Amino acid sequence: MKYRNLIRRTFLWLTVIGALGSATLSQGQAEPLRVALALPGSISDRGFNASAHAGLMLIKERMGDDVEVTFSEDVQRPDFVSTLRDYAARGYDVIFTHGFQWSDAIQQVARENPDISFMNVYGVGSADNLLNLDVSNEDLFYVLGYAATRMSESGTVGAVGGWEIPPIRIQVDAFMRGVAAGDPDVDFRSIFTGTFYDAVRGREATKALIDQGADVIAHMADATGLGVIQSASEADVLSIGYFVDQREVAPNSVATSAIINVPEMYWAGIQSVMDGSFEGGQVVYGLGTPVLAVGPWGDMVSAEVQNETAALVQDIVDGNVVVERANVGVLMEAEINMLE
Amino acid sequence: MEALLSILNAEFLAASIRLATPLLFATLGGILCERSGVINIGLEGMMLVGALMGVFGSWYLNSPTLGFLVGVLSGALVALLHGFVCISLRSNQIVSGVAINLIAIGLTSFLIRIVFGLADQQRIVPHFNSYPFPVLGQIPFIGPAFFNQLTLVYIAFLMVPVSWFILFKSRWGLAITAAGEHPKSAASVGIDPQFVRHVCVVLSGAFAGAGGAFLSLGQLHFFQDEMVAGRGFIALAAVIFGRWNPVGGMIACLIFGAADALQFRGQAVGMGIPHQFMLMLPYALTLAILIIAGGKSKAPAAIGIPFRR
Repeated sequence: MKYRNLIRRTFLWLTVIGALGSATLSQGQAEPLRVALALPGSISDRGFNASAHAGLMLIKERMGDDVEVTFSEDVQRPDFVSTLRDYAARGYDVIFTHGFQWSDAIQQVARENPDISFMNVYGVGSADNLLNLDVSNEDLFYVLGYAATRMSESGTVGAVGGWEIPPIRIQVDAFMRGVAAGDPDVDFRSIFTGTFYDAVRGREATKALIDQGADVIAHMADATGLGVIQSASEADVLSIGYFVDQREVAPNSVATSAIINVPEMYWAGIQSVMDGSFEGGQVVYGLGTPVLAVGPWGDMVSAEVQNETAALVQDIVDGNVVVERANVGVLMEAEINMLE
Repeated sequence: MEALLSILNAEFLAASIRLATPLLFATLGGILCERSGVINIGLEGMMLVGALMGVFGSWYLNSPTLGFLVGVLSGALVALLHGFVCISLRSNQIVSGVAINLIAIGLTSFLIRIVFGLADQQRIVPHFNSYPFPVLGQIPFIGPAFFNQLTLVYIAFLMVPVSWFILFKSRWGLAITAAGEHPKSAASVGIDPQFVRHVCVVLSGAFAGAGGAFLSLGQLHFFQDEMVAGRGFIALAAVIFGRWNPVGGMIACLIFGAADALQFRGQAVGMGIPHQFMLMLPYALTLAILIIAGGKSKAPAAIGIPFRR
């Protein structure tokens, strides 16, 4: 009897100590924040999808063991909803998606999972826990169109778009208006390839533009754009990169890039989740923020062009120049009708 | 009208041929395979493997020609697997082809990242440059349009009469047709339909691999995930459109290439036609010609049916 009591007491104390111990331990190592990212394309596109992957890696780098990250790439449209539901079911705290085409899927899954924070770049879906990360495309691409007229010697400027979804349409239109504002005598030619993933088509589209006399060609086409830059580089004409500084793709051709700093957008989003201020809606980053900028210039671009472009950027930031906004409502309605 | 005339230049013809060439390689492979009685939905995946291995071969052997051969051989190797599953194991040919396409997408993206790494994936490898014919290349209009292409383009178009001759004028062609139309009769006169089919499937993989390597070594000079982007399926359509005849297949590919080159240029000059319509043009045109050309399009009788003794 005596011994049994002792054993019982010891067991009791051990349990208490154990419980206390594990409580202090778990206080020291809080559950890591679990962050997931779903991408429509490959992270090897050196642009749109690569920038999102870089954003996820930035979160991992800055938060270390306090965060656990994962991602899926090349997710096909029919799998959008199931991919997001899978992440939700596996207990992820923050779910990012990348691109306008996710709008429906992320809205649906966000409404099903009110405790999870959802963020989507270029999205239009709405839910209390869905934040759409956006940039003022009109301003940036207007400036680039303007700069293109200053760099063109032939008097023809071109653009290659991917699939015509509202963000791409807005970018191409703004670029066109920038060209018209820079020099009304410069011709503007554009081609939509209908795909973000076919670099060979990007190449052929670029050849067609060069054949029509274009000597500065911008792309808004993700991996298709790699073919645009490659083809421009071969023909020794200038090109404008997309999303990240793409000079290293073809140093002889990439004059500048449209920088849309996705990692900084992601980081701001994660910080709002960490300090509890996260809420649904839309945030739009403009020129003058670290997110949106005209990229580093190639060596072939004169200081005059660089200064003139910088002055236009400053004018837009100061409000001296107001760039016409795209009629997003009309574009969205057309697109949403198409999706349904 | 003036805009339309301005785009019908030598560069337009050159682009048509350039766009038709990868399709032509795969189409010739498809024709050979289907005439022997095996459906090859996996052309797309075999092209993708050919594109990747072509890049690897060219980089490590430092020669686009050797790289191209590596691409051709790897396409053939994937086809060997298709043949094993469809002919030896007598499994469903469609399922095997679809599986090959899916595996190819994952495998190629995975391998390029392992071997070249994510940051350096699009490194430019030794590649083919266009070869202007000495005299013919000098002829105005015709020279730049037809005789200033990559060597591979000439090879692809040379393969049309070669495969036509093999299919319709040689004993081999007779054996292939017999294996595809009535394998039992073929077996009764001493032809081994399974062997004939194996050879044809492997050759179709080699052709598809050539088409893929043409895309990577002839056009892009690097490998990009999923870069074949549906061309294998267009080739399948060209096989049927061309009525299982290499010459017909070539015409189908040329129509498709020309329509694609035309729509790019139509968009570039801004003819005021919505680009969605332009993007549809190659497909719509193919369909229209199929309807107008009419007539009976007859597939090999034993296509898709595994041979049992």
